[in-house]
Amino acid sequence: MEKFRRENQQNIKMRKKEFFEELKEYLIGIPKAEKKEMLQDYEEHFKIGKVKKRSESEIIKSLGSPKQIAREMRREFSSSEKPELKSEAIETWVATKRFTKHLFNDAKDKISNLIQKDGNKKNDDFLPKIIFGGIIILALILIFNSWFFRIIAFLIIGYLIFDYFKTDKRNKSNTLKRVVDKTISKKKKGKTSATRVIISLAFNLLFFIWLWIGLFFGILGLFIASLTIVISGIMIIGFGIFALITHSNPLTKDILFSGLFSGIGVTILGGLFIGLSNLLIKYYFKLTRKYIQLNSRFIRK
Amino acid sequence: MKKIIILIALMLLSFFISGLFFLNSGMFDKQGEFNRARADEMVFELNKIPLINIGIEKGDYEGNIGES
Repeated sequence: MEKFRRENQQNIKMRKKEFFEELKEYLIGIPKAEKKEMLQDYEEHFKIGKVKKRSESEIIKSLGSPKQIAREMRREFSSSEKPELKSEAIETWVATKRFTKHLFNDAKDKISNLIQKDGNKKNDDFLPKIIFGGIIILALILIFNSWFFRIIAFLIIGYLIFDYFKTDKRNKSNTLKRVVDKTISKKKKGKTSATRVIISLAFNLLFFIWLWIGLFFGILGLFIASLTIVISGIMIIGFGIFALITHSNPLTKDILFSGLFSGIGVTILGGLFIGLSNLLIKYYFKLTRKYIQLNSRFIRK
Repeated sequence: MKKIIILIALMLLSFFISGLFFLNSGMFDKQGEFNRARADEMVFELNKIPLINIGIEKGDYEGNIGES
């Protein structure tokens, strides 16, 4: 009973920790001072709740989701004119980061389990093995004479090495316990299938990523073109007004007015295209997030 | 949605007014023929305006404007 209570307490503690970790992740783009103040404020909420003998999960429930809190904060403090769009972008980024982290963590767990089954090898050995294996695979990618693959490979190698040192430092003595705990908690949610991870990675790297990059640059192109249209429209209006004021002439008056109104039309047209590209970017982010969620569902059995 | 409809209507109206002014400028006569003499005068006047200087010399725009 005592053991169960201790485990339960640990679980709740993790929830509070997870809440703050998630909140910090979503709070990108909010001024440092406000961010610090807000985190202290939420810490205070937890302290007051504890005094009132409310459980941490209850407090978290009353505070709302970190995503929602960050959205509201951004609406209040962000210098951006379109905080909603910025939130979409940040949420997509966080989802991508988590998905990648999840993939790496699960791959580590999988191999660590295999090592444990095979013999009495030390659990700490599995991390260097992963890095070594990763480097060999990525070295094969480097054979392709493409700068894109090279940059991606170097980034992945860098991440693996960085992650290894970070994990090692933090969990010097109890890596085994951490991995076992993680595996047990994952079993409840659904185990990740190694084959599905490979299928998902291969499909995304071979097909989806290109479509994704192409779409992004397509929308970016539309946005730049719209911006150019707006700027030219404003210039036509400006020059038109300047000419009408300084060189008013019955002969050219009509043609200058014609130019002025077409300038107004062109500016509105550009503005509408900017709106369209904003809308497309918003749906692009939404779709990306949905796709990441779909992938994470697919790789779980 | 309402805003977008208003903006589209405004844009069309601007282009329509612009077209009316253009037709009223006398570049084309009532029969729809290109009025070369009038266009010459206009180009001459427009060239006097700094920044707008359209860079076409008098009578040198035939190839650009059309055969009519």
